[in-house]
Amino acid sequence: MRMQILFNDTKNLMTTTLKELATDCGPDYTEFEVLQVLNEMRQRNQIQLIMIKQSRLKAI
Amino acid sequence: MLKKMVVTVMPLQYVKIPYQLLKYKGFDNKGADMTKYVYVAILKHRQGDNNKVTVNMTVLEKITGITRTNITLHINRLIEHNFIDRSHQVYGWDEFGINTYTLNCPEEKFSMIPYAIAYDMEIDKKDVIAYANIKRIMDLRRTDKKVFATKEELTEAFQCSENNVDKIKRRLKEIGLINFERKSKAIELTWELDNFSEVKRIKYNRKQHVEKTVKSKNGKEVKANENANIV
Repeated sequence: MRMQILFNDTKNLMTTTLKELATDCGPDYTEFEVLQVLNEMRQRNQIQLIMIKQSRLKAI
Repeated sequence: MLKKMVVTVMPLQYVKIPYQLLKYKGFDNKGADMTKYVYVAILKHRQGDNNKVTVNMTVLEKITGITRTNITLHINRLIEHNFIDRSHQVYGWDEFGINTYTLNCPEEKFSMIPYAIAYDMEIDKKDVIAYANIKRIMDLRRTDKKVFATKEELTEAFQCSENNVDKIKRRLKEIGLINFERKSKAIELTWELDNFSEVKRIKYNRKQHVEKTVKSKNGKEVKANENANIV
């Protein structure tokens, strides 16, 4: 799923997918592992996660 | 020496051995531990909390390291004492020997033994049951990775003589599962302590790496008017 990550400290916004992030981490990292870390970061108020719906994706 | 477990990111996998089975004294003294171990071997092929386990005799032979005839004897003993029920499944000549076992043993309380210990071929099966008993005492005392137990308590738990308790403890120490000092009641579960912290450390490092990668993106891919697309 495509998503946007808003970094709370700098207010920067980035658009990415879990797959892209997992590939950036390394070959043996899974999407699930990345999602877990993102969730933890969200709980610590470091980032905000915004999911983009498929229907909206066409419009983008 | 027991080989150090190949460390993966997966958490340690455990088999749950019920207390009811561990402390049961109804079996003949000769081979009582092996009977209990056959139950543990059946548990390996259990799926989730399902009470019915379908397993082949050949597989049980491999896990326990004893012959088919002996396994049948132990299974019959388990059935006799109402720990399991058996039903045959004979679909064709090639599938002969596949049985479905129904586990009747109450499982509210159990010892958790890592797969790497429970199904290691180098460890004597009696020692596995002894180790499970040590963990049972540990759980009852609510201590973590360390237990204080007198010789009498261990004799009672292992269901053997005092001399044998010393032998079993020494064997477990040689393999590297536990550690203890002479004239001390304390037993430390060294193997689990080491491996547990190792797995934890690797998991932590991987999380840190992912977090670093995500943070490195901060400030790089900023696009204007992206807020317009947020749902």
